[in-house]
Amino acid sequence: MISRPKTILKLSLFLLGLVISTSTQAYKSNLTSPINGQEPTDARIEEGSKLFASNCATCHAIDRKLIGPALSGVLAKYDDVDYVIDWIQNNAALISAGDPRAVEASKIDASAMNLFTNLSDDQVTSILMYIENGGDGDEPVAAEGGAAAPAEPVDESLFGKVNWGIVILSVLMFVILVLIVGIIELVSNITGRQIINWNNVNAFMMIVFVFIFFALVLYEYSVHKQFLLPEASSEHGIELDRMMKWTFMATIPVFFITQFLLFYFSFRYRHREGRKAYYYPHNNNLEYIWTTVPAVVLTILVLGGLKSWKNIVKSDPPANTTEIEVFAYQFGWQARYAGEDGKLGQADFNLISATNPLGVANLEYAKGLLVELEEEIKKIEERIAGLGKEEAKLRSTLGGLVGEERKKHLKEIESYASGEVRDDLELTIRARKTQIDRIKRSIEAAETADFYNGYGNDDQVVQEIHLVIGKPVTLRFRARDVIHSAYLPYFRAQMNVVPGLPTQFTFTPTKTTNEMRRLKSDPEWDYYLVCNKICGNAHFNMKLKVVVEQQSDYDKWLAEQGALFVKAEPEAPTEEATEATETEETETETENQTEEGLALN
Amino acid sequence: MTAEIHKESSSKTNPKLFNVWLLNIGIVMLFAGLTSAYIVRRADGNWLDFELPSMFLYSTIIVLLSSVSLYYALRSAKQDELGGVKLGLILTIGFALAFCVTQYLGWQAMLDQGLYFVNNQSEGEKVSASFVFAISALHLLHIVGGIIFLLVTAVKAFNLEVHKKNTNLIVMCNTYWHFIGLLWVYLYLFFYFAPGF
Amino acid sequence: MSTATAHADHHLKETFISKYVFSMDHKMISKQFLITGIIMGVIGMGMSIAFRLQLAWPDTSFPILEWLFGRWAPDGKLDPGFYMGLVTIHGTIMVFYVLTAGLSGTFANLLIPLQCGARDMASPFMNMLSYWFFFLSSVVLLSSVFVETGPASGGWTIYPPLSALPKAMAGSGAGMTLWLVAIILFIASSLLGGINYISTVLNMRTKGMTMTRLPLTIWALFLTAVLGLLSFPVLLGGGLLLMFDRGFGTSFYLSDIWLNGAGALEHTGGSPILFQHLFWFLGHPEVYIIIMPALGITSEVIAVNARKPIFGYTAMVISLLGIAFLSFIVWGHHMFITGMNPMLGTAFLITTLIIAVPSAVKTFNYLATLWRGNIRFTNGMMFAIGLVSMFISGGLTGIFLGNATLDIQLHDTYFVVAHFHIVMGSAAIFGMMAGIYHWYPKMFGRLMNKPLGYLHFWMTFISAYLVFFPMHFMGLAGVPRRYYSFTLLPEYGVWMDVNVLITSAAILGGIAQLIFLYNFFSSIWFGKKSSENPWQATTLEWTTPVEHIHGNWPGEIPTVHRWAYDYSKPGYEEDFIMQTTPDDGQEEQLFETETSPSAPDKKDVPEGETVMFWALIKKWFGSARA
Repeated sequence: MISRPKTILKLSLFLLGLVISTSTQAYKSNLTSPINGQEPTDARIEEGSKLFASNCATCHAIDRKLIGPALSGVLAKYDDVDYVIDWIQNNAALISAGDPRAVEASKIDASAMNLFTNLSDDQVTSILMYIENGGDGDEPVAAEGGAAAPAEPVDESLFGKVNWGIVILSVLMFVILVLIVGIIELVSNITGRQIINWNNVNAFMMIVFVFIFFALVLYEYSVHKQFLLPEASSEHGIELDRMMKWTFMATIPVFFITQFLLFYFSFRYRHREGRKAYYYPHNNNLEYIWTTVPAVVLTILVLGGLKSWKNIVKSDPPANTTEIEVFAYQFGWQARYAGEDGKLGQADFNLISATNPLGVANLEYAKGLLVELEEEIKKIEERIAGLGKEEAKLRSTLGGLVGEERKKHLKEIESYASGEVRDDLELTIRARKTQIDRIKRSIEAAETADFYNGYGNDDQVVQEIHLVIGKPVTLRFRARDVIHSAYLPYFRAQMNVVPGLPTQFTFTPTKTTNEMRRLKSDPEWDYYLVCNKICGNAHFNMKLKVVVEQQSDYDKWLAEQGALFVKAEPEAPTEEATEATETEETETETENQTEEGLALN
Repeated sequence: MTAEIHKESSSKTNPKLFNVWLLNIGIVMLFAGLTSAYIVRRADGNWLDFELPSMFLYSTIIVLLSSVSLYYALRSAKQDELGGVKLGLILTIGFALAFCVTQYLGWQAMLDQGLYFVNNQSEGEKVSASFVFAISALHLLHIVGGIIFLLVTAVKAFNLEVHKKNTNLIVMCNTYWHFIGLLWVYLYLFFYFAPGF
Repeated sequence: MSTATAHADHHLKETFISKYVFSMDHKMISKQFLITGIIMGVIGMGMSIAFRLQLAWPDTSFPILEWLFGRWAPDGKLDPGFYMGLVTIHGTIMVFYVLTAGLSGTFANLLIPLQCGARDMASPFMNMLSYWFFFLSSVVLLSSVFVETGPASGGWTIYPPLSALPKAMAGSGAGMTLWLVAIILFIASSLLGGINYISTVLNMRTKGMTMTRLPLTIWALFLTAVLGLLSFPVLLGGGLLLMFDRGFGTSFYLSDIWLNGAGALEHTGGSPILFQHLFWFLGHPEVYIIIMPALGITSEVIAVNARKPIFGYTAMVISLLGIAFLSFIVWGHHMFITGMNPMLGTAFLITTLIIAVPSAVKTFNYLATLWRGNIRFTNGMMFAIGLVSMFISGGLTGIFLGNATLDIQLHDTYFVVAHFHIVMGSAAIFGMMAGIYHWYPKMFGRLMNKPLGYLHFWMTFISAYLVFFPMHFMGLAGVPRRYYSFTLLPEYGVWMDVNVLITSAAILGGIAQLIFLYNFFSSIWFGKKSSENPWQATTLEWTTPVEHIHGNWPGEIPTVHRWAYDYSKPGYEEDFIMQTTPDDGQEEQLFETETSPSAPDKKDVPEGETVMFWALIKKWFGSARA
């Protein structure tokens, strides 16, 4: 398959354009009927597209299954917009309550859908409007359920994209060549004389190869140089780049010289009539030389590497560093700033819930969580009691099903009959009880231990991180579920994010986002932190925006971020206060979402 | 599976016996890896050091006794005392089974102390118990393999096939068994002294 | 079935089963390893082409994918979870099944008895078990692709917690269990084989075959087996602890986990980094287990076909020893950015860059062997030269990755993918190919078709560079590996045309392997019949008859009188002297010692004594400054 450069260029430009256009395109509503009693205006759909991009796109596409199922036609499928909104906001609650639609949906994939309690009903409605509008396509979705295709089917097969003329011609020429050679060889075998001197052919190809090889390497460098990373955007990055340069300088000459010698010797010393090899079994001096020289060069590289390694991964960050917690989960990133007190509160995985996705320590929240967990246990126990009825219902709906559906249904019945469902639920109860125990213990120790020191009350959870140019920052990493990795190539930073093992990386940014936008001639460009350790099905879709700006812009942005638990002290146990906290948190997060739509500074 | 010394090679070592030594080296690496894991995890903190139940001391003594009886069987074979061979092998198998019993009782003792294989109700410090269970169980598996080896040798002995002119099998059996016994002594001492570091 | 001795006439009747299926003859077992390895290789490569289709043309529907994978490729596009499953199984197959079993298993079994001068392995029964465990392991691994929740998909490195929690990823369910079972069977196979290889090399060499007269291939295979014996058990231990975490709920590797859909898990006290230590303690020696046989084969093939002794035999042996020893203390370079103690990073940085030295020495020795040689481009020689080229390219990028500082930037990017594919997926495979072409006459009594072999080589060589070289640039640009698509950031989009190039070249490479497969299988029955020593090599395997017999030699095993590299020795008419040729007093003294490799027998090695290896080392170091 040979692709013409023009086609490749067109294809990549098209893709690039597609990606860019999806983030700037204004959406035109083609919907006529209201959704959730609200008018699907252009503005709502645009809001929906942005919310979709930052919340849903990690796992969902509209017209095809990605990690989660395709979303087009979802409203028609469930015919209950309240259920859909509830599901999106907190699918776990529906599943543990035993809602049959939810339970069935939970079986689609092994990994569960994230919770989005931070999205209000209106925001979810906007997302639904965007979905119903066909997402990136201009056509509204067909009323029937299932994945709908846009009005004009895109030519999805490869058939049309390849220049079959060239391919067929090449294949033909190749086959002809092979046949010719085959015939010559046949004749050689018959006459006993070797017609083609394969030795010379190959020797010749060796020497030709090395020159083409070098040419292509240099050519590729000339073409791809522009795509390599620019000068580092961090202080230590400069040192890292210098190390990189030195290593290149050591290895590139070796590469060219040894490769050349290899192919040149192969050509020059090919067998010819009457030639005899030179019996030269060893030369210890040579061995010493080419042991010592690489050893010396590598020692220099080692010493350089050690020096920069020490500087970069120092265990004591500078005193004036800003600490930001970066929290990784399947499949996204959140970050936490330390708030006014400048200190990050403690956190624990046992305190994670829909309203506190990072599990930040707060005494009254913890007590409230205990209550929630006890309720959840009660609900599960109720469900266990009613399992017989659930099974009976399944059995009653078996009749009439055929084929795949019937098999699936039977399997479900089997999971009830064999006790698998019951065992699962009982294990869940046990896990919740352990969780309750652990929280209780932490509360009991609250007086003496440091955990509920209240530093976390003013912490701010954000969906993108802002850094101040020239000021050191320490990213403190925590993972919720599996190993992730935070990779910030422009800053030359990378660190694994491991559940149960806090890690950190300290650096000082040296180029603002605006500077980079000028450098790249792209007013939409942004720094990103991406996941760099296989973490599940949506590993390729986890990113966190990083903004580097001046102190004043940073201060302004930070001031707008809502605090987790408004009250400074760990007391104030009233229920209204807790609710007020949650609403306020939701409101400020809503503000965050809409702010994303505005041009970022 | 008669062992043939390949007279045509220039080496006097019995290659099949050498294989047993190599197998032992492999087993060393398995337990070296696991005991290293124990040390590495312990260095991370959140770790409960505990004393091994005394039952394991009895295991150690029993396994040493089993080596003595097996060596006696080997010596008898070299001296063509076939009765001694049978006696030694039977005794060894007896001690081996007793070892299995004491290991089981030792585990029971640990369970009675609240040290389980799965310790999720704790704060994570009891993972030390999980390690001890895992490593000692794996060792017991190798003992069971050794018992099978002993049984095979015993069958041959009762068929009067183990004697001065045919010691290869019982030598190999000794090599493996002493090694597995010594491995237990190492593990016991390791678990005994590790908390002190 | 016991090994026959001098009388090759079988008193026991051989059935089809005992000859071809449950054979205990090392030559047959080597062919079994080879063919199973080739089949697994075809499957592994097929998987790579499948997922490369996704990378190059993510919006295109490929009916063939849907036909092959059914619900895992709905609408002709790979499911993201299954994509990772393919990547995982591809990696597992290639690293273990093709390049370990398929490479060591084949050539150790074939060559160790033959080149050492032994009738068979130390324990032919264990040898047979070794193959059948391998076969069983392959079946179990492939079956994991067909389970309902899909194959293991956490990468061939299967780090927990991801691989320990079925709720974190579908592929971590039954598929992962089967993967673990397959690996345990594989480790058993490797250990059974390796023990045999070591024992045979040390104990069953024929008269006169001192360690220093062994061909480098045997040195390499021997040290590979030692590496395997010492490192596979550690993976076994690590894998067992993982099985406990998965099956019993222990917390060796798991702690502080809150899973979507399951909530806060009970596990506490575990360390995911512990798994990585145990895994890479095998994982690093493993890659040397892969490359060393390839290097050993290359030494052999280059010497034979350049009609020159391998340059610096002693230095080559010492480098092999150096690589083998050092390979145990570099594993942490896979873990530089795990957040482990920076001091460890320092230690591993040093050891990793040291291991580059013996590798460099070997490369220079290969070049020096070619210099002023009389080079015949047999098919094997082409691949041997190709290996050196790949080894240079891939080895140099290793210097980048071994530097902890640079690893911060390059870890888990396409730069790493380029590096290991060039050293393993190209260099080591080339070694395997070189070995196949070179020893095909020994295995099957026929020659493979030469021009087709050249075609195979050039297509493979060119496509390998086309596929993997551009990946360096992608890695330098910060593109992560194991990504299902390049849609996360706009700047990844610029690499889409490169993806197309890579996939196209990979397909070309796949077609080249089809040519090889045709050549390999058709030559078994229709290839030109070979003579006893078609390459005019000096080593013992070429003194055995073309038709295989149990016990290898019809009469007595020949005695060895010289080292393996007397090619183009001055003063002789022929440009090679078999190892079995007695010395006739005209030997040049190259060393001042009595027991140097290329010196003749001053006295016959007394029967029953082996020359102690370490005594020899002392002599070398003492007198090498000749």
